[in-house]
Amino acid sequence: MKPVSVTQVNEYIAGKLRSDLNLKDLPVEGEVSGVSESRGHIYFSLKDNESIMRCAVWASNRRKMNVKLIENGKKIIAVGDISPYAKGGSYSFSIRYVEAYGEGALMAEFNRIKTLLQNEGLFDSKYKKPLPKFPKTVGVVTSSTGAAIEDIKKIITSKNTYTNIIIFPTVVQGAAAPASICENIRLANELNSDGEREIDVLIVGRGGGSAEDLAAFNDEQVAREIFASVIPVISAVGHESDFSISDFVADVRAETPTAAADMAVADTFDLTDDIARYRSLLSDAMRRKVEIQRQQLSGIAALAYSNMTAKLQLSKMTVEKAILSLNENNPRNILRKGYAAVLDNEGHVISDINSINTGEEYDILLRNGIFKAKAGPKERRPE
Amino acid sequence: MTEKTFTEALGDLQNAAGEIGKQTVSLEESMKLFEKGMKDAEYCNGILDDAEQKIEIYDKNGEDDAE
Repeated sequence: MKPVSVTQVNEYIAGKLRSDLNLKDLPVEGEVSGVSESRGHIYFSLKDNESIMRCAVWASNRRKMNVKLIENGKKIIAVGDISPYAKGGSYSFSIRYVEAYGEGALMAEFNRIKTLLQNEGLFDSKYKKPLPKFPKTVGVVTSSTGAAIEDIKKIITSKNTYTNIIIFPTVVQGAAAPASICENIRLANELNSDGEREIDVLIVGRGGGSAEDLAAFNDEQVAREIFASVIPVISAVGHESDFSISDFVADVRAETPTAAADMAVADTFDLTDDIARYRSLLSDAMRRKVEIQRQQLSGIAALAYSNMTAKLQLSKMTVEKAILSLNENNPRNILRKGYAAVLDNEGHVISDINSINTGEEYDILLRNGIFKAKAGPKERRPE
Repeated sequence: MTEKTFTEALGDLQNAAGEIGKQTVSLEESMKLFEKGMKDAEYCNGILDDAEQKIEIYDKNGEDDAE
Protein backbone atom coordinates (compact mmCIF):
# COMPACT_ATOMS: atom_id res chain seq x y z
CA MET A 1 0.00 0.00 0.00
CA LYS A 2 1.33 3.35 -1.03
CA PRO A 3 1.90 5.62 1.94
CA VAL A 4 -0.25 8.76 2.12
CA SER A 5 0.82 12.14 3.33
CA VAL A 6 0.06 13.55 6.76
CA THR A 7 -2.00 16.21 5.11
CA GLN A 8 -4.02 13.62 3.32
CA VAL A 9 -4.78 11.81 6.57
CA ASN A 10 -5.71 14.99 8.38
CA GLU A 11 -7.84 16.20 5.49
CA TYR A 12 -9.56 12.84 5.36
CA ILE A 13 -10.34 12.84 9.07
CA ALA A 14 -11.41 16.48 8.93
CA GLY A 15 -13.81 15.64 6.12
CA LYS A 16 -15.25 12.77 8.14
CA LEU A 17 -15.80 14.99 11.16
CA ARG A 18 -17.38 17.76 9.09
CA SER A 19 -19.81 15.46 7.41
CA ASP A 20 -20.95 13.69 10.60
CA LEU A 21 -24.30 15.24 11.59
CA ASN A 22 -23.96 13.79 15.09
CA LEU A 23 -21.21 16.31 15.68
CA LYS A 24 -23.36 19.29 14.72
CA ASP A 25 -25.49 21.20 17.27
CA LEU A 26 -24.12 18.94 19.92
CA PRO A 27 -24.89 19.72 23.58
CA VAL A 28 -21.95 18.90 25.83
CA GLU A 29 -21.73 19.21 29.58
CA GLY A 30 -18.47 19.74 31.37
CA GLU A 31 -16.41 21.88 33.66
CA VAL A 32 -14.67 24.98 32.33
CA SER A 33 -10.91 25.30 32.71
CA GLY A 34 -8.00 27.23 31.26
CA VAL A 35 -9.99 30.22 30.02
CA SER A 36 -8.04 32.69 27.87
CA GLU A 37 -8.98 35.42 25.45
CA SER A 38 -7.37 36.62 22.29
CA ARG A 39 -8.64 39.22 19.83
CA GLY A 40 -12.17 38.83 21.11
CA HIS A 41 -12.21 35.06 20.87
CA ILE A 42 -12.48 32.97 24.02
CA TYR A 43 -10.49 29.74 24.32
CA PHE A 44 -10.93 27.23 27.10
CA SER A 45 -11.34 23.55 27.80
CA LEU A 46 -14.29 21.51 28.89
CA LYS A 47 -13.46 18.55 31.02
CA ASP A 48 -14.99 15.80 33.04
CA ASN A 49 -13.30 13.31 35.37
CA GLU A 50 -11.42 11.56 32.61
CA SER A 51 -11.20 13.67 29.49
CA ILE A 52 -10.66 17.14 28.21
CA MET A 53 -11.81 18.89 25.02
CA ARG A 54 -10.64 22.16 23.49
CA CYS A 55 -13.35 24.75 23.01
CA ALA A 56 -13.64 28.13 21.36
CA VAL A 57 -16.19 30.93 21.34
CA TRP A 58 -15.59 33.08 18.27
CA ALA A 59 -15.86 36.81 18.68
CA SER A 60 -18.76 36.87 16.22
CA ASN A 61 -20.78 34.62 18.54
CA ARG A 62 -19.89 35.99 21.93
CA ARG A 63 -22.38 38.87 21.92
CA LYS A 64 -25.23 36.39 21.43
CA MET A 65 -24.49 34.40 24.55
CA ASN A 66 -23.93 34.68 28.28
CA VAL A 67 -20.14 34.43 28.29
CA LYS A 68 -20.07 35.20 32.01
CA LEU A 69 -20.86 31.54 32.55
CA ILE A 70 -17.48 30.65 31.03
CA GLU A 71 -15.46 30.80 34.16
CA ASN A 72 -12.82 28.39 35.42
CA GLY A 73 -14.34 25.67 37.58
CA LYS A 74 -17.92 26.31 36.48
CA LYS A 75 -20.04 23.50 35.11
CA ILE A 76 -21.85 24.41 31.93
CA ILE A 77 -23.82 22.95 29.10
CA ALA A 78 -22.47 24.16 25.75
CA VAL A 79 -24.04 23.71 22.35
CA GLY A 80 -21.92 23.87 19.20
CA ASP A 81 -20.18 21.94 16.44
CA ILE A 82 -17.03 19.88 16.42
CA SER A 83 -14.76 21.71 14.01
CA PRO A 84 -11.55 20.13 12.83
CA TYR A 85 -8.24 21.89 12.21
CA ALA A 86 -6.67 19.76 9.55
CA LYS A 87 -3.23 21.34 9.57
CA GLY A 88 -2.76 20.70 13.28
CA GLY A 89 -4.42 17.33 13.22
CA SER A 90 -6.75 18.52 15.94
CA TYR A 91 -10.30 19.53 16.51
CA SER A 92 -12.08 21.91 18.85
CA PHE A 93 -15.62 22.51 19.99
CA SER A 94 -16.96 25.68 18.44
CA ILE A 95 -19.62 26.96 20.82
CA ARG A 96 -22.69 29.03 19.96
CA TYR A 97 -24.74 28.73 23.17
CA VAL A 98 -24.01 28.13 26.83
CA GLU A 99 -26.13 27.73 29.93
CA ALA A 100 -25.33 26.94 33.52
CA TYR A 101 -25.42 23.25 34.25
CA GLY A 102 -28.85 22.25 35.50
CA GLU A 103 -30.36 25.59 34.47
CA GLY A 104 -32.51 24.17 31.71
CA ALA A 105 -33.95 21.53 33.98
CA LEU A 106 -34.55 24.12 36.72
CA MET A 107 -36.23 26.46 34.28
CA ALA A 108 -38.47 23.72 32.93
CA GLU A 109 -39.49 22.73 36.45
CA PHE A 110 -40.06 26.41 37.33
CA ASN A 111 -42.37 26.83 34.36
CA ARG A 112 -44.20 23.58 35.09
CA ILE A 113 -44.97 24.58 38.70
CA LYS A 114 -45.80 28.13 37.72
CA THR A 115 -48.32 27.01 35.13
CA LEU A 116 -49.79 24.39 37.44
CA LEU A 117 -50.37 26.81 40.31
CA GLN A 118 -51.52 29.56 38.03
CA ASN A 119 -54.16 27.28 36.57
CA GLU A 120 -55.27 26.36 40.07
CA GLY A 121 -55.76 30.08 40.74
CA LEU A 122 -53.16 30.37 43.48
CA PHE A 123 -51.84 33.62 42.00
CA ASP A 124 -55.26 35.29 41.73
CA SER A 125 -55.37 38.80 43.06
CA LYS A 126 -58.60 38.02 44.91
CA TYR A 127 -56.57 35.91 47.36
CA LYS A 128 -54.03 38.66 48.05
CA LYS A 129 -54.33 39.85 51.61
CA PRO A 130 -53.52 43.47 52.41
CA LEU A 131 -50.53 44.13 54.62
CA PRO A 132 -51.32 45.58 58.04
CA LYS A 133 -50.37 49.25 58.36
CA PHE A 134 -48.91 49.06 61.82
CA PRO A 135 -47.75 45.55 62.53
CA LYS A 136 -46.83 44.93 66.14
CA THR A 137 -44.94 41.76 65.29
CA VAL A 138 -43.16 40.74 62.11
CA GLY A 139 -42.23 37.11 61.64
CA VAL A 140 -39.22 36.33 59.49
CA VAL A 141 -38.76 32.93 57.88
CA THR A 142 -35.16 32.95 56.75
CA SER A 143 -31.71 31.86 57.78
CA SER A 144 -30.76 33.25 61.18
CA THR A 145 -27.21 33.78 60.00
CA GLY A 146 -27.52 35.23 56.49
CA ALA A 147 -27.23 38.82 55.33
CA ALA A 148 -30.99 38.94 54.77
CA ILE A 149 -31.92 38.81 58.45
CA GLU A 150 -29.35 41.47 59.30
CA ASP A 151 -30.78 43.76 56.62
CA ILE A 152 -34.32 43.14 57.87
CA LYS A 153 -33.37 43.84 61.50
CA LYS A 154 -31.50 46.97 60.51
CA ILE A 155 -34.41 48.41 58.51
CA ILE A 156 -37.09 47.61 61.07
CA THR A 157 -35.17 48.98 64.03
CA SER A 158 -34.27 52.11 62.08
CA LYS A 159 -37.91 52.79 61.26
CA ASN A 160 -39.42 52.30 64.65
CA THR A 161 -39.00 51.22 68.23
CA TYR A 162 -42.32 49.49 68.19
CA THR A 163 -42.41 46.42 65.97
CA ASN A 164 -41.21 43.13 67.40
CA ILE A 165 -39.30 40.70 65.24
CA ILE A 166 -39.58 36.93 65.56
CA ILE A 167 -37.00 35.06 63.55
CA PHE A 168 -37.74 31.48 62.58
CA PRO A 169 -34.32 30.01 61.79
CA THR A 170 -34.79 28.33 58.45
CA VAL A 171 -32.72 26.29 56.06
CA VAL A 172 -33.01 28.30 52.83
CA GLN A 173 -30.92 26.30 50.39
CA GLY A 174 -30.26 22.69 49.62
CA ALA A 175 -32.43 19.62 49.81
CA ALA A 176 -33.72 20.32 53.32
CA ALA A 177 -34.79 23.88 52.49
CA PRO A 178 -38.36 23.40 51.18
CA ALA A 179 -39.44 21.35 54.19
CA SER A 180 -37.81 23.81 56.59
CA ILE A 181 -39.51 26.80 54.94
CA CYS A 182 -42.89 25.04 54.97
CA GLU A 183 -42.52 23.99 58.57
CA ASN A 184 -41.74 27.50 59.78
CA ILE A 185 -44.58 29.15 57.85
CA ARG A 186 -46.90 26.60 59.42
CA LEU A 187 -45.32 27.14 62.85
CA ALA A 188 -45.84 30.91 62.63
CA ASN A 189 -49.51 30.39 61.80
CA GLU A 190 -49.90 27.85 64.60
CA LEU A 191 -48.40 30.26 67.13
CA ASN A 192 -51.07 32.76 66.11
CA SER A 193 -53.96 30.33 66.20
CA ASP A 194 -52.81 29.00 69.58
CA GLY A 195 -52.76 32.58 70.84
CA GLU A 196 -49.08 32.29 71.75
CA ARG A 197 -48.04 35.12 69.49
CA GLU A 198 -49.72 37.74 67.35
CA ILE A 199 -47.68 37.81 64.19
CA ASP A 200 -49.13 40.44 61.86
CA VAL A 201 -47.03 39.82 58.79
CA LEU A 202 -44.53 37.22 57.65
CA ILE A 203 -41.43 37.86 55.57
CA VAL A 204 -40.32 34.69 53.76
CA GLY A 205 -37.11 34.81 51.81
CA ARG A 206 -33.36 34.98 51.62
CA GLY A 207 -30.57 37.07 50.16
CA GLY A 208 -29.13 36.74 46.69
CA GLY A 209 -27.50 33.62 45.30
CA SER A 210 -27.29 31.39 42.26
CA ALA A 211 -30.38 29.96 40.63
CA GLU A 212 -29.74 26.72 42.50
CA ASP A 213 -29.41 28.59 45.80
CA LEU A 214 -32.82 30.17 45.32
CA ALA A 215 -34.47 26.97 44.07
CA ALA A 216 -36.28 26.19 47.35
CA PHE A 217 -38.49 29.22 46.79
CA ASN A 218 -39.67 27.70 43.53
CA ASP A 219 -40.79 24.56 45.32
CA GLU A 220 -44.41 23.59 44.88
CA GLN A 221 -44.99 22.73 48.54
CA VAL A 222 -43.44 26.02 49.64
CA ALA A 223 -45.82 27.83 47.30
CA ARG A 224 -48.81 25.95 48.71
CA GLU A 225 -47.75 26.66 52.27
CA ILE A 226 -47.43 30.38 51.50
CA PHE A 227 -50.85 30.32 49.88
CA ALA A 228 -52.34 28.59 52.93
CA SER A 229 -50.83 31.08 55.39
CA VAL A 230 -53.46 33.09 57.25
CA ILE A 231 -50.77 35.62 58.10
CA PRO A 232 -50.07 37.89 55.10
CA VAL A 233 -46.79 36.88 53.46
CA ILE A 234 -44.19 39.09 51.82
CA SER A 235 -41.92 37.09 49.55
CA ALA A 236 -38.39 38.45 49.41
CA VAL A 237 -36.04 36.22 47.46
CA GLY A 238 -32.65 37.25 46.15
CA HIS A 239 -32.15 40.42 44.20
CA GLU A 240 -34.63 42.51 42.26
CA SER A 241 -33.95 40.59 39.04
CA ASP A 242 -34.79 37.25 40.67
CA PHE A 243 -38.34 36.03 40.35
CA SER A 244 -39.45 32.98 42.27
CA ILE A 245 -42.71 31.03 42.47
CA SER A 246 -43.10 32.25 46.05
CA ASP A 247 -43.17 35.83 44.68
CA PHE A 248 -46.23 34.99 42.60
CA VAL A 249 -48.12 33.22 45.33
CA ALA A 250 -47.28 35.56 48.21
CA ASP A 251 -49.56 38.45 49.08
CA VAL A 252 -46.81 40.90 48.15
CA ARG A 253 -43.48 40.51 46.39
CA ALA A 254 -40.55 42.49 47.66
CA GLU A 255 -37.52 42.91 45.44
CA THR A 256 -35.14 42.22 48.30
CA PRO A 257 -35.30 41.38 52.02
CA THR A 258 -34.47 45.02 52.71
CA ALA A 259 -37.44 46.14 50.64
CA ALA A 260 -39.62 43.60 52.42
CA ALA A 261 -38.73 45.01 55.83
CA ASP A 262 -39.30 48.50 54.54
CA MET A 263 -42.81 47.75 53.30
CA ALA A 264 -43.69 45.63 56.33
CA VAL A 265 -43.35 48.24 59.03
CA ALA A 266 -44.41 51.85 59.44
CA ASP A 267 -42.04 54.62 60.33
CA THR A 268 -43.25 55.47 63.81
CA PHE A 269 -40.98 58.48 64.04
CA ASP A 270 -43.08 59.96 61.26
CA LEU A 271 -46.17 58.70 63.06
CA THR A 272 -45.33 60.55 66.23
CA ASP A 273 -45.08 63.72 64.17
CA ASP A 274 -48.42 62.93 62.54
CA ILE A 275 -50.11 62.47 65.89
CA ALA A 276 -48.75 65.77 67.14
CA ARG A 277 -50.05 67.42 63.99
CA TYR A 278 -53.52 65.93 64.46
CA ARG A 279 -53.57 67.12 68.05
CA SER A 280 -52.81 70.70 67.15
CA LEU A 281 -55.31 70.44 64.31
CA LEU A 282 -57.96 69.40 66.82
CA SER A 283 -57.05 72.17 69.25
CA ASP A 284 -56.98 74.85 66.58
CA ALA A 285 -60.26 73.78 65.09
CA MET A 286 -61.87 73.64 68.52
CA ARG A 287 -60.61 77.13 69.41
CA ARG A 288 -61.83 78.51 66.10
CA LYS A 289 -65.20 76.86 66.50
CA VAL A 290 -65.67 78.26 70.01
CA GLU A 291 -64.63 81.70 68.83
CA ILE A 292 -67.11 81.61 65.95
CA GLN A 293 -69.86 80.44 68.27
CA ARG A 294 -69.00 83.16 70.76
CA GLN A 295 -69.19 85.81 68.06
CA GLN A 296 -72.48 84.47 66.83
CA LEU A 297 -73.78 84.39 70.35
CA SER A 298 -72.79 87.96 71.13
CA GLY A 299 -74.36 89.09 67.86
CA ILE A 300 -77.60 87.38 68.75
CA ALA A 301 -77.54 88.76 72.29
CA ALA A 302 -77.05 92.29 71.00
CA LEU A 303 -79.94 91.85 68.62
CA ALA A 304 -82.14 90.48 71.36
CA TYR A 305 -81.26 93.42 73.59
CA SER A 306 -82.03 96.05 70.99
CA ASN A 307 -85.26 94.30 70.01
CA MET A 308 -86.27 94.14 73.64
CA THR A 309 -85.52 97.82 74.17
CA ALA A 310 -87.57 98.76 71.13
CA LYS A 311 -90.42 96.63 72.32
CA LEU A 312 -90.35 98.22 75.76
CA GLN A 313 -90.31 101.66 74.24
CA LEU A 314 -93.32 100.82 72.12
CA SER A 315 -95.25 99.44 75.08
CA LYS A 316 -94.48 102.54 77.13
CA MET A 317 -95.82 104.76 74.39
CA THR A 318 -99.00 102.69 74.08
CA VAL A 319 -99.59 102.93 77.81
CA GLU A 320 -99.09 106.70 77.80
CA LYS A 321 -101.47 107.08 74.91
CA ALA A 322 -104.05 104.98 76.71
CA ILE A 323 -103.70 107.08 79.83
CA LEU A 324 -104.16 110.23 77.76
CA SER A 325 -107.22 108.85 76.11
CA LEU A 326 -108.60 107.69 79.42
CA ASN A 327 -108.16 111.15 80.90
CA GLU A 328 -109.80 112.76 77.98
CA ASN A 329 -112.82 110.51 78.38
CA ASN A 330 -113.02 110.69 82.16
CA PRO A 331 -116.73 111.35 82.87
CA ARG A 332 -115.78 113.60 85.76
CA ASN A 333 -114.11 115.92 83.29
CA ILE A 334 -117.40 116.01 81.38
CA LEU A 335 -119.36 116.80 84.59
CA ARG A 336 -116.86 119.58 85.26
CA LYS A 337 -117.97 121.19 82.01
CA GLY A 338 -121.53 121.50 83.38
CA TYR A 339 -123.11 118.30 82.16
CA ALA A 340 -125.13 116.04 84.48
CA ALA A 341 -125.74 112.31 84.53
CA VAL A 342 -129.05 110.52 85.29
CA LEU A 343 -128.61 107.37 87.39
CA ASP A 344 -131.16 104.62 88.05
CA ASN A 345 -131.66 103.28 91.52
CA GLU A 346 -128.77 100.89 91.08
CA GLY A 347 -126.42 103.75 90.21
CA HIS A 348 -126.16 103.01 86.44
CA VAL A 349 -126.02 105.92 84.02
CA ILE A 350 -129.18 106.15 81.88
CA SER A 351 -128.68 107.36 78.35
CA ASP A 352 -131.87 106.02 76.76
CA ILE A 353 -135.16 107.97 77.11
CA ASN A 354 -137.00 104.64 77.00
CA SER A 355 -135.47 103.70 80.35
CA ILE A 356 -137.05 106.78 81.94
CA ASN A 357 -140.42 106.25 83.50
CA THR A 358 -142.51 109.33 84.09
CA GLY A 359 -143.22 109.95 87.72
CA GLU A 360 -140.25 107.85 88.96
CA GLU A 361 -137.38 109.34 90.96
CA TYR A 362 -133.83 109.32 89.66
CA ASP A 363 -130.48 110.40 91.01
CA ILE A 364 -128.94 113.31 89.13
CA LEU A 365 -125.18 113.43 89.35
CA LEU A 366 -123.42 116.77 89.16
CA ARG A 367 -119.67 117.70 89.38
CA ASN A 368 -119.81 118.04 93.12
CA GLY A 369 -123.02 116.46 94.33
CA ILE A 370 -126.07 114.33 93.73
CA PHE A 371 -129.84 115.01 94.09
CA LYS A 372 -133.12 113.25 93.49
CA ALA A 373 -135.54 114.41 90.75
CA LYS A 374 -138.90 113.08 89.64
CA ALA A 375 -139.29 112.50 85.91
CA GLY A 376 -141.94 114.66 84.22
CA PRO A 377 -143.52 113.99 80.84
CA LYS A 378 -140.96 112.65 78.33
CA GLU A 379 -140.41 113.12 74.68
CA ARG A 380 -138.24 111.11 72.38
CA ARG A 381 -135.94 112.92 69.98
CA PRO A 382 -133.92 111.62 67.12
CA GLU A 383 -130.30 110.93 67.97
CA MET B 1 -65.87 48.19 75.12
CA THR B 2 -62.97 46.17 73.78
CA GLU B 3 -59.71 47.99 73.50
CA LYS B 4 -58.96 49.71 70.22
CA THR B 5 -56.04 48.66 68.12
CA PHE B 6 -53.42 51.22 67.32
CA THR B 7 -54.64 51.30 63.73
CA GLU B 8 -58.22 51.98 64.80
CA ALA B 9 -57.21 54.69 67.22
CA LEU B 10 -55.02 56.42 64.64
CA GLY B 11 -57.81 56.16 62.07
CA ASP B 12 -60.29 57.69 64.51
CA LEU B 13 -57.85 60.45 65.33
CA GLN B 14 -57.36 61.24 61.64
CA ASN B 15 -61.09 61.25 61.17
CA ALA B 16 -61.73 63.52 64.14
CA ALA B 17 -59.09 65.95 62.91
CA GLY B 18 -60.80 66.05 59.54
CA GLU B 19 -64.37 66.33 60.83
CA ILE B 20 -63.94 68.94 63.52
CA GLY B 21 -63.06 71.73 61.12
CA LYS B 22 -66.22 71.31 59.03
CA GLN B 23 -68.81 74.08 59.13
CA THR B 24 -71.70 71.66 59.43
CA VAL B 25 -70.44 70.07 62.62
CA SER B 26 -72.13 71.54 65.70
CA LEU B 27 -70.27 72.80 68.73
CA GLU B 28 -71.45 69.85 70.81
CA GLU B 29 -70.26 67.40 68.16
CA SER B 30 -66.98 69.28 67.87
CA MET B 31 -66.47 69.05 71.61
CA LYS B 32 -67.08 65.32 71.49
CA LEU B 33 -64.72 64.94 68.53
CA PHE B 34 -62.09 66.98 70.31
CA GLU B 35 -62.33 64.96 73.48
CA LYS B 36 -62.27 61.64 71.67
CA GLY B 37 -59.49 62.75 69.34
CA MET B 38 -57.30 63.86 72.21
CA LYS B 39 -57.88 60.54 73.92
CA ASP B 40 -56.95 58.67 70.73
CA ALA B 41 -53.80 60.77 70.35
CA GLU B 42 -52.81 60.00 73.92
CA TYR B 43 -53.55 56.33 73.39
CA CYS B 44 -51.46 56.18 70.21
CA ASN B 45 -48.57 58.02 71.77
CA GLY B 46 -48.83 55.73 74.76
CA ILE B 47 -48.47 52.66 72.58
CA LEU B 48 -45.52 54.15 70.72
CA ASP B 49 -43.80 55.37 73.86
CA ASP B 50 -44.36 52.24 75.90
CA ALA B 51 -43.41 49.84 73.15
CA GLU B 52 -40.29 47.93 73.87
CA GLN B 53 -39.02 46.41 70.69
CA LYS B 54 -38.19 42.75 71.04
CA ILE B 55 -36.07 40.77 68.65
CA GLU B 56 -36.51 37.10 69.28
CA ILE B 57 -35.15 33.99 67.67
CA TYR B 58 -37.92 31.45 67.97
CA ASP B 59 -36.71 28.08 69.14
CA LYS B 60 -39.37 25.52 68.46
CA ASN B 61 -37.62 23.03 70.72
CA GLY B 62 -38.12 24.98 73.85
CA GLU B 63 -36.86 28.21 75.33
CA ASP B 64 -37.23 31.40 73.39
CA ASP B 65 -34.08 33.34 73.03
CA ALA B 66 -34.97 37.00 73.23
CA GLU B 67 -32.45 39.74 72.66
